[in-house]
Amino acid sequence: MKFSHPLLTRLSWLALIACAGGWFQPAAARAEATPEYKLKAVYLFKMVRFVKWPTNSFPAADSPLVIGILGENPFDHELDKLMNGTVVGGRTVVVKGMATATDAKKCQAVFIPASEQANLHLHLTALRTVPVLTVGEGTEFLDDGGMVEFFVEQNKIRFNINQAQADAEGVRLDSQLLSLASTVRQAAGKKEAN
Amino acid sequence: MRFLWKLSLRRKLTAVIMLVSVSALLLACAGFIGFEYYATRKALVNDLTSLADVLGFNSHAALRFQDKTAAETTLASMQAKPNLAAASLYTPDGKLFAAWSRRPYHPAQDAATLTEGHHFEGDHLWMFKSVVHDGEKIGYVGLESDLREITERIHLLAGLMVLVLAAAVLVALWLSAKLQTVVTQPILQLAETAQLVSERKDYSLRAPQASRDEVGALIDSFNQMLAQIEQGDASLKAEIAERRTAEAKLQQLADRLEASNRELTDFAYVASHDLQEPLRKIQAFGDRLHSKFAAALGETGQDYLKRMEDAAARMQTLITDLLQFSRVTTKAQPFVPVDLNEIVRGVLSDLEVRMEQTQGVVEVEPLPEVDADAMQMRQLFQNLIGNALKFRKPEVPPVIRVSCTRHNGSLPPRFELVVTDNGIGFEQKYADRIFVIFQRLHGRGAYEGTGIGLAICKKIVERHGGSIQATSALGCGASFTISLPVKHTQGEHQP
Repeated sequence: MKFSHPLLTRLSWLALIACAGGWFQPAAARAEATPEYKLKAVYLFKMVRFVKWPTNSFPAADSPLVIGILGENPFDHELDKLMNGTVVGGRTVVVKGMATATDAKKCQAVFIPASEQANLHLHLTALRTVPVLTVGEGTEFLDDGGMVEFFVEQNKIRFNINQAQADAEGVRLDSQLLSLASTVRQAAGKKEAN
Repeated sequence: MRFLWKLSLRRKLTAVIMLVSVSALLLACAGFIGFEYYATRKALVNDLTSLADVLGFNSHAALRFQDKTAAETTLASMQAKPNLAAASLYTPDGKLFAAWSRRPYHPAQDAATLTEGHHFEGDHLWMFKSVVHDGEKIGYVGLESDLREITERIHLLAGLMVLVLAAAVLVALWLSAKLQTVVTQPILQLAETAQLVSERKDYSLRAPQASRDEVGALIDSFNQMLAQIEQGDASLKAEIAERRTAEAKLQQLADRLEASNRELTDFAYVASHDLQEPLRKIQAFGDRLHSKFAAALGETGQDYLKRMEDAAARMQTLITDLLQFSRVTTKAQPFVPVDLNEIVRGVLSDLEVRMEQTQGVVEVEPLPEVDADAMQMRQLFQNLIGNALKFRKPEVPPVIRVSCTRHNGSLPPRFELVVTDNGIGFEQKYADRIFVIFQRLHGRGAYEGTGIGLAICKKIVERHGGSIQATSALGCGASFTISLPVKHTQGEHQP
């Protein structure tokens, strides 16, 4: 009897590699996003549907919509799972990790997690000249020139919007999105809504 | 529509106008209300569809972010729509997400039972529509509209229609009553005139000319007809008057003729009667001359005397015949039913001797009973049968037939009596002459008689309102046809 069939041998190797890649890892054993970040991922995913970018922010007509994560990715694979194959405004959505703000300039939206708090000012200054939706955490994100900041209120994820900043960079936010925001900062002379 | 025929012209016209106008109005109203009902519902569905679209659009973010507060705020903005009873939003899997209602109200909890689109249910219109954002179905919007307002509107409209209809009926009734006279007046006047004309027989009446339409033409024709009748009537009257005058003249003439006729008859009777007296004297003295002075007269004298006596005898016969002829009128008897069979039997028994001498045969068919003067009937047949025996062929025994046929086809019905013989006959050209008094076709030597018999026959038949005709050919016998009326409606016929 012969057990060493070439196909069988190859399949066993594939299974071994797959295991090593974490495909069959038990959930507890993996580095998993917290419930808070799961929700934030959903919000981020939904938010891009209510944003319009100037056409020149995409290299080509069929270019994907790129969401960049600066620094450490707190969503783990959560955002990837959500975005998998999603089409927003006729473009497939791609999630990419970004090392520097300069890299992130090519994105349409950038999430700056709280872990990048130290470099926040730098990042935002770098992104100020391009139409990139900047989403961050904490109550000072807008003060530093961010556009959308998530915060937790009564165990719920809420967000504030700096419409003046978005307008200045050519990122247009849907009024319905604005209406869902806790506060909306508008350009000087304009009344602050909510 | 049968009942219409029984109505008068006025009512008929009114009924027709009313029927037409009311049906037209009813149809128009029904059509209008139907259209209004349909159009309102369609408009409502359209409104609700766009409202659902707007509401769905405005709820994109609320549905995406599952923000119930925002959704309820959006739904509450529906407050401004007065007819909207309730609005609700559902998650893509059909779970109720947010709801708003004008009154305490429980919308359908599970949208899975609903189908997309709209449906009417009693006083409500339901609308259920999916909300699509960026090519993805993110939920459903449900709307419920209150139809009470449009139902009330339709009811109000229907009520208004009833009022309009009632008012229109009244106006139409009034108008038709006023306007129908345009049509009926000339016709009624025409009818009235026609009735007056027939009642009074006054053809000088004319129907008043009212309009220039077909009725006007009818009235024209009617008046023309009246004029023609009037004219005809006048000429007819003139003709009648003319005829009456002519008739009177004719009567006068007839009277005069009758008088002169009677005079003539009287004269003939008197003359013949009076002529006999001197004749008898001639004969009497002739006799005496013959018996007492025959020897004295000599041979020549006796010859003269004999000639004189012969002439006197002939004159005697002539006078007797003339008297007999005139007696047809002077000694006439009133008409009574007479059995002709009996009459002919009597005649035959009178002629028995002559029939034996001549070996004659008389065949008599059954004869009818007629209204007549019995004596004259007897004389008639006596003369005819006697003539037949007299004018026989020398070596041939006479055969005489008497027959009768009834002619109901002629007016009045007549009996046709025919006496036929096999005698010597006569030429047809003398058929009229033989009936003239004292006219003879043969010399005195051949056949005796004065030629009065057929004249008397003619006179008798004419007195009975009939006629007599003779047909014959020389040597072929003769046939005498007497036509007599079956009944005499008016007295005696004047000859």
